[in-house]
Amino acid sequence: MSAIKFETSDGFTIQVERETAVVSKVVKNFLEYHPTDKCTFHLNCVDNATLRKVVEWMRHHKDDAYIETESDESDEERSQDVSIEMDPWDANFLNEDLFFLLDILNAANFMKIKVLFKNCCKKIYLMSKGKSSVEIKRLLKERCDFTDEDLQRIANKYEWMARVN
Amino acid sequence: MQSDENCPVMRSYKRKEQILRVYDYLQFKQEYTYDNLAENVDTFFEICECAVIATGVHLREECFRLEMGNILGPGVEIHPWLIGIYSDIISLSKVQKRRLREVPLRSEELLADDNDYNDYDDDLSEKHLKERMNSIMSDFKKILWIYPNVYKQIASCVKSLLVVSCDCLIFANKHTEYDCLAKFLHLMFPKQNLKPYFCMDTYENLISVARIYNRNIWKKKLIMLKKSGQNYAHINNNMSILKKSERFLKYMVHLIRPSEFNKLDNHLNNHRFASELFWKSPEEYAIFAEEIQKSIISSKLRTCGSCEKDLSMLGFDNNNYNNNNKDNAIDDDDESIKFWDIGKNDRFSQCPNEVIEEIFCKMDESELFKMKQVSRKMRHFSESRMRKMSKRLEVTEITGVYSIFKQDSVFHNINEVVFKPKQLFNGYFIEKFKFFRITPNTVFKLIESQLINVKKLKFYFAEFKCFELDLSVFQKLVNVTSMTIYEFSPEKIHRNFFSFFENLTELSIIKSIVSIELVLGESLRRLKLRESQVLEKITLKNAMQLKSLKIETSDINNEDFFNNYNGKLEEMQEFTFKSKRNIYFPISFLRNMKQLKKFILFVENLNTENLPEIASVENVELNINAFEDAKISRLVKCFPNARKITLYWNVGSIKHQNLLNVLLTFKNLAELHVICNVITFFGKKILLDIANSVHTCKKLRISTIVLTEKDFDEILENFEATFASCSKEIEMRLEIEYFEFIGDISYFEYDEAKISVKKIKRNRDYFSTRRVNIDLCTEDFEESDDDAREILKRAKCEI
Repeated sequence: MSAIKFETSDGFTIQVERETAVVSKVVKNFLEYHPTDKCTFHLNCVDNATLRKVVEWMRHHKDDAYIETESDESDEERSQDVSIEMDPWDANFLNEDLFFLLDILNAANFMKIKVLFKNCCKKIYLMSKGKSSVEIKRLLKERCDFTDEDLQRIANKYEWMARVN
Repeated sequence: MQSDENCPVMRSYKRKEQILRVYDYLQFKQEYTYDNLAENVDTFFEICECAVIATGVHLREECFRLEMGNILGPGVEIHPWLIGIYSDIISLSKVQKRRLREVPLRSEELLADDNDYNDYDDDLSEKHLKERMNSIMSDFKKILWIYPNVYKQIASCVKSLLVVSCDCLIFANKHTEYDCLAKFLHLMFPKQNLKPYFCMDTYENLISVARIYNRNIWKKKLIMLKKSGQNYAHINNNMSILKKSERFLKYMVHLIRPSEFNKLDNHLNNHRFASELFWKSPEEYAIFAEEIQKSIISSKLRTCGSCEKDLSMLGFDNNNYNNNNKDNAIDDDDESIKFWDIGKNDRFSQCPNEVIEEIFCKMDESELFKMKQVSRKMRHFSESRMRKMSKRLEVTEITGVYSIFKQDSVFHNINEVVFKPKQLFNGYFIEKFKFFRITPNTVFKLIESQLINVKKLKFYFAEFKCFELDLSVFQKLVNVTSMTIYEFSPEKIHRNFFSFFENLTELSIIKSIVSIELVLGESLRRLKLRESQVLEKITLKNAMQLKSLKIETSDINNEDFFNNYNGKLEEMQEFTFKSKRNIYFPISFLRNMKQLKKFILFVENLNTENLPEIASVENVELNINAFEDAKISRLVKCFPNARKITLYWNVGSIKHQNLLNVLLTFKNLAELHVICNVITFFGKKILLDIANSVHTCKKLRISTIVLTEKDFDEILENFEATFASCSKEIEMRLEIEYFEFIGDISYFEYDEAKISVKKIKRNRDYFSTRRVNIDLCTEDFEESDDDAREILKRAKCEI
């Protein structure tokens, strides 16, 4: 059985069976024009954790008939598709924090996995639904964006507190 | 000794004499008017003691002339002594005109007769009339800003006189009503240059407004606006002249600084449709001017940092619409993470545009408004999304020209236009409602560029003074597919109004009265007529292609319609006829409907002789008040392939054997619903028998007003027995609907494989014969129409 390798931005390599990998339109198109048993895709903007999550989704949906990777929607079609209904498995699968969801969303966009992309959008939309603008701002702030250096600097600054305790 | 000219008493005496001589005609025709005039003249030729004219002693009339000169153009002569008698003079001239209409004058004679009156013009082209109106109204330009109501009155009157061509013989050539009246005024009172367009109390209003304006502008202390670039801080406290509008008795006069008039004029003329509006609808032109004035005031206040914004007319909240809004993401008090800058570095904003767009596609308008305040980037996406969203433009009785103009520029995809007043008096029982301020024609003109996108038009309780659409509007409304008219009785509607909409497929006319014959277009596929006395007035251009027809009527003159279209509605798929009274309905009307799938009939009684068999019908609902077993069985027999039958059991008849026999022959019957209006035992007995007998049904629904534990047990028992006797392994569903349950409500639990029992509580109306009416009201409003639904709810409570 042929396998496809994905190399992540943080240097990991994940091997995925061919029928799972072709859920991605990028892979499918490539393999159509360059039939080969072994090849490696470099995913510069997808890290290891995200890719594992995406692959898990691809495995689950590899046999689904509705996973069609073709056709780009026009602006008008996209406007009409406002339903937020989702497969229960997907809804559960995507129960992650906003930032991980954004990673998955970007990965799905990069790898052209339309259904996952749409589902992530729905999930993110549901997160913001019913929230005020202030709450949305807080939601976007949730994750700490300090670099290690910043954290170290703060730790040094408040070191005396640790000593007092 | 003073000369005559310099002595005010002598001057006054001479002038009085001159004036009264001019109005001699009145002395013979209307003596009391002449007396009034004489009194007025006396008053205005007294010596005035005001300090406006500093050069010595002056008369009140001179003072008045100066006041008028400030707000009116040089061509308009306003004579103060005509206060209270101007309308009498105009009506007198009309009477005289009627008397003298047999005397022809040629235009040469007319001109030779009196050089003072040379306004006469026989060019009746629209362009020329427009120019004439423009020149007349230019004298009242300032009035437009000071007191638009008077301007409105004058402009409407001028237009109505100019557009009506007069066929009298006074002028031998073509002429307008305006010329005719002006000429008469001139003949009666030579050299007075009286204008025929001061109708009713316009003259008095004009004078009052001019006086109020002048006294407040010139005689009181003026608060001058500082020039732009200087400090505006005082404006809020002191009220600028531009802003200041004061109510003096009944007049709401805008005290506009003289130098502002030109700016306002320029602002108004910059709008592409202003000139068109001026001619087409002078009243709306005045409304528009008023709105522009308001918007300028609010923008000036914004500039000087005031929180007071008159944005309600734009349909936005103050918080949501603010062009000067700084990116408030950084303003948040919560600064625990200082390195974070939402809108630039947050992960969401860093996503590719198409990703953000996809998420924004799911959001509705209110959510987009919230997102707009998150960051600059979000605002950009929200706004661009908002432009693309299909919009519903709602015009109410308070909607003005400017607000539509503004919405038109903000939203670029208006696909539905709704005319619906905000205030419904007593729910849908309207006693009195206001006229809309602007007509549909103007609304459509304003959103002209978007008309091509409009698919739905709705007129709820809409009342317009005039309902005419221009040809150019019709040409652009080509994509309208659905139209609803509710409680709308247009006085002027073109016979072919509906057929002008080439693609109109769906038309609902509800509770509306139209007095003329209506021709419905070729594309029409679905037609609803409810409580509208229009059935006998309708002509279907393409009856063959009509797929759905719903008639709810209490009108008895339907015979012509049924005779005209008998056998012609060949493509009909859904036919509903509901009547509340004993109204003629020939069942043979269904004869040629070979495609009919759904048939609903609510009538008092029915002649069941010579019934046609309609094999195509799958869904039947029958509510015949005078219910007889023989009749209903004959009727039901007409639909041998029915899959779903709904029957209203309206009388306590125990005979139902024929009906059962018929139902047993139905091979495809899968769903049976019996609604029992009778509380007696007989009614339930029938239900049980039906439940027992019809084995092909997968779903049975029984609706009864009062349900007891005993009944429930009995129904269930019978149902189980029926189920047990079924040879096939099928799932069966039983639904029991009730208004009142006697017994323990928790008793209702039932769970067994393959049989599902569902109980549904219904309100009392569901079982009533009045159900027709209730349905009528609730269905008429769209689901999204929450306001209307709320009102209806209240109205129902009142019933």
